[in-house]
Amino acid sequence: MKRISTLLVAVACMSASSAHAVEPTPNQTPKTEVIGAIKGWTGNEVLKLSLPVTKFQLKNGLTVLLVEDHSVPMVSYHTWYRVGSRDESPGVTGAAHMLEHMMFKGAKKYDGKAFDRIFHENGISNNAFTTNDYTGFYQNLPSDKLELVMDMEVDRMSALALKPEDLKSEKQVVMEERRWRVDNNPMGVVRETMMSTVFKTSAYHWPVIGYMKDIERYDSDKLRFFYSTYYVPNNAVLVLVGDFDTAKTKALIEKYYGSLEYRPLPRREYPKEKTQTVQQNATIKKDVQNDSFIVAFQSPAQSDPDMYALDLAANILGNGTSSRLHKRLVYQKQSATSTYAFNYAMKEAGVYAVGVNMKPGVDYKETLEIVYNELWKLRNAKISDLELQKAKTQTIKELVDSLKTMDGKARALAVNEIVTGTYETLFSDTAKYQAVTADDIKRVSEKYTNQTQRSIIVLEPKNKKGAANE
Amino acid sequence: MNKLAQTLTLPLMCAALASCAGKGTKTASTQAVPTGYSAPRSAGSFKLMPFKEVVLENGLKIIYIRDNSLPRLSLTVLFKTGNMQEPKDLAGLNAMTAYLLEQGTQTRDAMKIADEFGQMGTSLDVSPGFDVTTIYADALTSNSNQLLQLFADVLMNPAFKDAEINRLRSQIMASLKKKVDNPSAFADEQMDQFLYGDHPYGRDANGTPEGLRTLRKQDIIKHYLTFYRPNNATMAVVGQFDDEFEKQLQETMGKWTKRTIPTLTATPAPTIESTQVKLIVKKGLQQTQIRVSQLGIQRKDDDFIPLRMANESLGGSFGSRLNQKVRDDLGLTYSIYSGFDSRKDRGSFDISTFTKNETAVKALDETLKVVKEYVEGGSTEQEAVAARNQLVGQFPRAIETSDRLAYNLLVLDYYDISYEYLTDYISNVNKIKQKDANNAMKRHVDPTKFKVVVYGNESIIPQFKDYKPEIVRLAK
Repeated sequence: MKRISTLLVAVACMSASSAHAVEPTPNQTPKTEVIGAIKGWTGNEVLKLSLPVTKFQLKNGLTVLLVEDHSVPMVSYHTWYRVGSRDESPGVTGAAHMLEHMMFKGAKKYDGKAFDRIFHENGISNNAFTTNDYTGFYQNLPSDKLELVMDMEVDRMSALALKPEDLKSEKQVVMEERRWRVDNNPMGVVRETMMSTVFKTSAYHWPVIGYMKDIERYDSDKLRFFYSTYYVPNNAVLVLVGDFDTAKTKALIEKYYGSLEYRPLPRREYPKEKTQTVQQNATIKKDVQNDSFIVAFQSPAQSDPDMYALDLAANILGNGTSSRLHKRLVYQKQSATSTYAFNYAMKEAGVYAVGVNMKPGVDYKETLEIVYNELWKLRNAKISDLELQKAKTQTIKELVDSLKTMDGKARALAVNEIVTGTYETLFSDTAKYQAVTADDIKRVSEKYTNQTQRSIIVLEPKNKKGAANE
Repeated sequence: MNKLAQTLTLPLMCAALASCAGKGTKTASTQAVPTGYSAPRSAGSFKLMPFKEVVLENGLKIIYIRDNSLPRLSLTVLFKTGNMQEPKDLAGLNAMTAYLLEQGTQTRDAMKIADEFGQMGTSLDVSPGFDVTTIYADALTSNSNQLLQLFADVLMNPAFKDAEINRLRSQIMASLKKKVDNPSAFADEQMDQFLYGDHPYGRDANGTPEGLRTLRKQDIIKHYLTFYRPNNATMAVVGQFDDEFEKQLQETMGKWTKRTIPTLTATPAPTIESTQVKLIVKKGLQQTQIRVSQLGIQRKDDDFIPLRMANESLGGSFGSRLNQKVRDDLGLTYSIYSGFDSRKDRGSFDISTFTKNETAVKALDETLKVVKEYVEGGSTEQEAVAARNQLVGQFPRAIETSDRLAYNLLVLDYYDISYEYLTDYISNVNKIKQKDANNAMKRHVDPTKFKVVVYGNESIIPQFKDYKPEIVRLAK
């Protein structure tokens, strides 16, 4: 549930609303009756979520999900591809993200600056993002612009320009993006270090945005290979939510996308991560005001049923002012300004982590011991029913809240379809979370959070001495 | 200034735009009748979700919007108090007061409050600001009554215990100190100070170390009793609820006592004679943050919408001149945007970007060039059409959810602007001619009188010598 949106890399930072993906879920196909609304929630009954989804596939393999919703005269239009940084290799890290940027630089029918200009002129907002596992493009458009957007998306899905001179200036833009997200942002450095420490052999070792030396070296041939391999209809999911007629829109999609060619995808072998057997440590020294640290563990891929219990365990440790870490470190000890925990489950593997930001002038070591103790408690003592219920309610409510807007619905459907193979996991998740027991929380804690499985990432001020205490 | 990004995303959400002549009166059809909800009708083409307004005897205005699409409800209270209502030597007083609400009441301590909200799957969202302070919480419908009781307790019976005051004071001091490590937020804060001087908008909403050190428990209690009153607040109730819940809510909130609210005047912001550049230098920075600002407009200004339209072509989206030039053509940045941040008092016109240290002055030069050309020459007809289409096309998102609509209504109510602002928005935007937008820009933006803050490493100093900058070196 707790996706780190900061791990996502969006093409534009004009909005804080880049990508808030919904937690990917196990690959199960439950029978969800589509009622078109949300069934009531009374006491202990499981809240049933459902949306009236029409799903079909074109002959060329394009998967399409449609949800008619006339609440406002707009459409949220999402085109996601099953390609991310895990499809790269050392030397071309960040290529998937670079390609995402190049998707705005013109194709055959709409060349050069046409994408920015035409979206702008027609009252359409748009953006895109890249993650470890997938790349998403989206628009929010007045509903009478549907065909225009379709035409443009088909153009760049089938005939991207990828001009060398455009690549040259866009590489500069991406380098600035990297400085902004990572090099000039201490927490960005910590996150990058965490991923490279937890994952040694898998493709999650390198950052989605790539390393600076690789960004400098991209050439358009390398990117073209990436494009022609993965930007094919059978590797894409199209999700439309909004003010349209389903039958008419289905016909339009067949008309616009139908002639695109199916191209078999290469067999993809992703390097498996070795099981960690000894504690890893990484210390970063920077010109910062305070200590901070993350304790991270390898956790299972999104398709593993353990994911649900780990999500709830992370919630109990670090979600909000009623969480165990906040109470103990921010409120009682008053040594930290904030604490957090997450379980970030991806296609191949996940990372389960706990983080603390210390007050300036307070050393982290004693607090690190307290964090170990809190992890130990989850491994050795059963949590109360009340605390378990709190974690479930928070997690399920987050799911409900993510479906408030057309864009939110489209995003939730897309991420589930892409990551689990069926959008229906979005609706079966609530029952899965409800089914988690206190024993499950203890069991997954025992399984994943032992001392030898830890990676400790510490960030501390360069010239550490007792900073002035207020 | 810090809300800029959001304001750009949702054309109305944050600034709940308004154009209409300042003193709007509410449309008759929205006046409360006991059970009647109505969608205000007007000459405008846009139909809003039905809502109703009730004013209690203690002066609390409540806006109800029923929305059964999800099994949830939310409560928001907007207090007409912020930095503007606190003395400079007690900067942070309003934020402390607001945050302390959930740190203990007469019958619940801080941890109990956190647990009770948590058990409902929610938390209290407290946002102290320059002009207003909002308090928000939501829950699943099954918890409506618990939510109401807890929310009311926090608003009406705070304990303000010494231990909590000291705990919070230390927290906020720590977070102010850490701000320098977040280059973007730090540049924003420095720009505010440079632009507004001693005016309350020049200070972080969380206060200053001096102010936080100075303020005492009695200041907090006095501020609470003075400004956190039903007749200084508007409440929004949104989601799945019934008549019975309304009745209960009114009974509960009706027990809150009103008082006379004083009006305060703020120190005016300094005037700008010519462009002034301030360099703030810190070792080890890998990138330079650049902010360009001047004083803008009050929210009630008639040029509000024309300026919004004019800004759309200058720095409002990917297709804007600043983005096309500084990002796309020159590759100098990943992000550049401009915008008007309008407030109760004069807000600001801001441009925000960042670039590598080596190209800091080039990025500023190019930015100022684009602005000068645009203010002097105005937009083309094609740009004006695009800007209009953007505002109109994206408008529905601003009121797409009942929560967003409620927020817009709260803000409009605060500025005393008619709700027709929303129903007539599209037709009003369509009436704005290219020359109206261009003239508004000319009237309000002077390209020769900017204040500029540049936050980067030592290598930027020689680049800026032609600007004769003020240089501030941050100690290690």
